[in-house]
Amino acid sequence: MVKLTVIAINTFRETMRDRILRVIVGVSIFVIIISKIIGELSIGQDLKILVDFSLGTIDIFGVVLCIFIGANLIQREIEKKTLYTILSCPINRWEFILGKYLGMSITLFVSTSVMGTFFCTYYYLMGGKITFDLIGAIILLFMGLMVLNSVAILLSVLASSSVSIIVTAITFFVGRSTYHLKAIPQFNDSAFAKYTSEILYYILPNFNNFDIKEEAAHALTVPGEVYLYACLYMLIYSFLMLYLASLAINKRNL
Amino acid sequence: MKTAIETKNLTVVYRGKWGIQKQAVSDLSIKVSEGAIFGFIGHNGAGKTTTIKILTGLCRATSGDAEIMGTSVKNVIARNKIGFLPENPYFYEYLTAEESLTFYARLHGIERKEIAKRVDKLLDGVGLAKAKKTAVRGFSKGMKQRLGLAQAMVHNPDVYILDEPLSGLDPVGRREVREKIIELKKNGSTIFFTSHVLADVEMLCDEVALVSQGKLVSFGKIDDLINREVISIDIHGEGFDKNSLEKLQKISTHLVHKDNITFVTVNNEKKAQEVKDILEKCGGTLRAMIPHRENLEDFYIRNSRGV
Repeated sequence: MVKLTVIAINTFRETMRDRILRVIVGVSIFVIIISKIIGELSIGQDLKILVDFSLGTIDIFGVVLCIFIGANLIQREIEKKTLYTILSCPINRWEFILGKYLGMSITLFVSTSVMGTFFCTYYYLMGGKITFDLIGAIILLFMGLMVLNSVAILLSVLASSSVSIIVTAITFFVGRSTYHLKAIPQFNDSAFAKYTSEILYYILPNFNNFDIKEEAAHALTVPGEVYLYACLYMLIYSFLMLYLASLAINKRNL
Repeated sequence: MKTAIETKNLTVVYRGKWGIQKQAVSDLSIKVSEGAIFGFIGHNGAGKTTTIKILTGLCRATSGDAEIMGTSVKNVIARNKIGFLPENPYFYEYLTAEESLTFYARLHGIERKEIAKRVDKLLDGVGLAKAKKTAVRGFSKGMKQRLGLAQAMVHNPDVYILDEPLSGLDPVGRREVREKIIELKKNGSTIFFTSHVLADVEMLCDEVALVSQGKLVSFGKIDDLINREVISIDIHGEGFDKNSLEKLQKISTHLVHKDNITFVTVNNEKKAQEVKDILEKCGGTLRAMIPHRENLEDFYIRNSRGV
């Protein structure tokens, strides 16, 4: 447990010192501020647009962090050979993978918290009402990032930095459109298309489970089951990805 | 004497591009005695680093096994018994020397209250006390090598595995690392190291193993391996006449004559005596007579040639 914590804290420290993190958080705060100005162009919809825009910003910038930092995390250790002195210590490879995942998760938590707190404060000052589901929407976005982070870690073990960055990005965008995958058989009679879309639907992460931005923007109440399902989905999917990443790094000769 | 490191029929086969198999290590069996300094020598690509990677758990053997102080290297506990310095050690560039050593100490399970004292002592021992708060990104190659050595010593292991510990160091740094290795041996540790600087290996090691193309060529105590008889003699003389030089040409393996001074190399003591007689007859002066015995480099070239 101590070794896991040491790796996690060091990964958090590593990512926090990455310039890209500060740039992303800074740009996202700027986008949240200007979203109010864009909202003012619409009539009576400014607060709705502020919520819509800000949650979208928190989401997309979190994804960018996962893609550019997370998808590089393990491969960079292999390429820079820093892994040599770490894995020659009495530490299991799965502990290293889990530690890296937890460290990156802390970074995502801190960055999402900073962006989320800024948004909520700004929204409140602009006259908006902070509801449980508004905060819930940010929490769900964070859970979605945890899933994407686990995918990024797996890809980072399997492929080179550039490939894992590209595939993580594709996974996110396809994972956001899984409902379309399920609809493919309705428009295509081919058995191949049917099975392929079905397999992809079940294999790829479904990021729609973590998306209640619309409900939050319209101040609709979200049932508790949605949070519970998202939480279970995140735990199971992340566990599977990290398990596969551990198997892959165990087989790897450095 | 107990065995600190043992490899048993170790074989590593890599699958390269297009599925072509390459045998990096082949049926390697060696034993390193506890408390010894062991030199592992061979050409580039001979399988030294692959063997080290197996001993440190970075690589899996295709067949065979290796043990550190009686524990299989497949067991993660074996890694608590080794201190490893890789060739060109890499550290997190954003960490300071102090943070780096603290990080490795924590990974070895050393208690937090003990770490600060140990880190200070180690940094002082490798001459990095002043660079304690400096980020590794500002370190020279030699400083990284010293930090790597401190990192290997952080948990006071029984066995040190050092891959090219003297590379990239200036003469002063090399001497310091050599002294550090001797000091570790005095404290009862076992040192297994690779180096291309054979003079250092000869100076430090009790035993050596020579590998070539993944196979063990020679293994044993240096004195048992090296032929200590005189293999050549260099003679420096002054005042050889033309007639004498012609005679010298016939018995020498190498001859240089410049400004009335002659440098002759002969391959046995009988011929050296003949050179001396020729010099005396022509009234010349003997300046120096230097016998050469086989050293580790001669042994290396003799044994690795054609393998």
